[in-house]
Amino acid sequence: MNIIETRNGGYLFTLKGKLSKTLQDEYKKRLKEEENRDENSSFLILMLLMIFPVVLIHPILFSFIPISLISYYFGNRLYIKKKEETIKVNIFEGSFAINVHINKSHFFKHFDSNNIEQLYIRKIEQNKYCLCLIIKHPIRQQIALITGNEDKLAELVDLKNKIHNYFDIQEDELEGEFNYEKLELPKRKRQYFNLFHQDINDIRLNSVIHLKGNDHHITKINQLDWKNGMVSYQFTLETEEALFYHSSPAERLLFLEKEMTDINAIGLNPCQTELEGLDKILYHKGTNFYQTEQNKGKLFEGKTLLHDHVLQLLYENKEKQRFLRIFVLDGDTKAMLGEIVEEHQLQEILPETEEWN
Amino acid sequence: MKLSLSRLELSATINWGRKHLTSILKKTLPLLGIGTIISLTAIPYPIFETWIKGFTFFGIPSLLYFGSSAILYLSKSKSKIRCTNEELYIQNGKEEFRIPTQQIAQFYLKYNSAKTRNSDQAKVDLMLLTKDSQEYDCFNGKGLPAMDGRELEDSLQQFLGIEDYYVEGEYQVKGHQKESLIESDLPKGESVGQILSFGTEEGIILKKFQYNWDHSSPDQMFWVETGETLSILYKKEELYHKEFKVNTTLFFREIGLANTISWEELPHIFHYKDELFELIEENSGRFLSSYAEKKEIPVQQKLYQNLQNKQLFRIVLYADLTIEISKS
Repeated sequence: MNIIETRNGGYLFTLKGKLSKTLQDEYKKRLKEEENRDENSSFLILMLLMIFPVVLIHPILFSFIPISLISYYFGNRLYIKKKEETIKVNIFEGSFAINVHINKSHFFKHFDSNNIEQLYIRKIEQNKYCLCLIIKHPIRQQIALITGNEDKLAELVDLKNKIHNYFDIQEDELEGEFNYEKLELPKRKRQYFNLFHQDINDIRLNSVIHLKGNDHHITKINQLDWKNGMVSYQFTLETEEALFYHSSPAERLLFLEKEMTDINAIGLNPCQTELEGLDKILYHKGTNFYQTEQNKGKLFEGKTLLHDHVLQLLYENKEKQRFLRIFVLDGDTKAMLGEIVEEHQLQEILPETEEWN
Repeated sequence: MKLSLSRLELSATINWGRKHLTSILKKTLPLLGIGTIISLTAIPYPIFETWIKGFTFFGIPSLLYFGSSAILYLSKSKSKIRCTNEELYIQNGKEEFRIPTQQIAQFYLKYNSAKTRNSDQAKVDLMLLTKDSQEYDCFNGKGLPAMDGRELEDSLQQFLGIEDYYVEGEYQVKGHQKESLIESDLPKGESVGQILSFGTEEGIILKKFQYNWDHSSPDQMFWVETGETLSILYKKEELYHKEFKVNTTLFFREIGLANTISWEELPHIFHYKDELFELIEENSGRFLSSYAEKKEIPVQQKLYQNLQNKQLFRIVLYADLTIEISKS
């Protein structure tokens, strides 16, 4: 869909699609009236006149004239039936119009914006959706406007929302309305693989990394998109441990973490799901952990969103060598205990072992 | 369009002749097919008494039809596009175009109304937007089918790890309005991949952040890889400050605010390890963690300085939640 803001403050939407059956019939009726003075037919007559001398060579060749006429008619029908029209939707103060050009003739349908109750999307059959309009006068009725398959669906949703926004139409939920939900995707990670100068972005699912002298297989990747625009990754290894990459504007951390089985040891109650009032200093096995950061974000596994608001508290010891990560998932408080990994200890990143994509 | 994607390279070949040919065949083949079927009903008549005559009436029109299509196919050129992690290379016939990938800000599709009018598909041009706001038409306005264009745009962006956003006037194939973005105001200057010298050290810029303040000029922050460690540099008024992160809890305890971490309670003056720091600047604005962000991240900053040794404390509040303290 192409959107142009017109000079008078309105919008012009151009999309390829199909008009609904009702509008098509209306359009065809009008097309029939215009057909007689169609330029195409005059061109056809000219062609016939030019071919006529050739036809005179043999009387049987006469039969080609009706054949060509019939095939032209059917071919054109078939072509028009399959072709998607360029539909122009024009909205401007007080008016809403649909404009279609087909083979130099055009069809125009106009609605008064005061007359529009609302637009909505309906599922007609499998893989076929329709953008409908409800008008108030002369009687409250629904008019189907544009139909399309799943590929066109998002475009229709866009169009609907834009028109609603422009005319300031309050949207009511209707029976039989199709609700389109937008997928939430994590921040993009680059796809190319660096052979040299490798970094954390080169670690992929099912790849092998060389960490602290051992080879590890990556079995799962979780991504956390933080509210401050930074990204963290959790690479789960086959040993139940995980390599956690954390980034904040002023720091980049990499640590090897393991889930704590007993969170009572740091004075946490497993039923406690409110992290706000948690102590700023936690004690575990002779080490004091000091809170260094709290952050909120979205948790993704691969490309699927698992949690919308994950609150994480990050604790570190005085030497910044050991870390404690506390967060709530599904009403469960979890704590991960980690130890720092120097960047040179993560040496080799090999591409994924299985077929990708 | 032939698109091949590997871990190291993305390449695509577009054969304009084929694009053109398929669109023409789509229009005319039903006509030829119906014509042929109707002509076949004429077989019992004496016109087909010999094979030669049959060939004349059947073969010659078909030959002409396919022959002209073949000429059309051969007369159109090809376009090639190749992208590695360092460079994007586009070849249009004999023209060549190269650009380092670091400079690419975004790909987007522009509606080509002239080509669409004569076609049964929407046609678009693939446009390239650089970080210094220059625009390039990748295929010189030849008009790619919208679906192909979208596929190419999407794979290029995914390959390079560029966030997809809405560019003014962009044509959207699959719809769902992409979100608009906030671009960093000062795209010029140091950029990712360049070498930066500060003091006696130098290193490669890995990341660039920007703070757009409401009432003063933007500040920048860089992650610089010097070969040994990652240095964090804060650039304020053409001066670089090398920064280290300070633990929040420990900081608040040190300045005498035990058991609390709160932005509101930050004093104007504090003692940190027997040195006096004074508030010299207070700012609010928005933070951009990469070249372009979909969301504005509200940010507040307090800058403290020790007047004797000019040491700085920078305390930043991101998204009204995360407090980060750096010392330089």
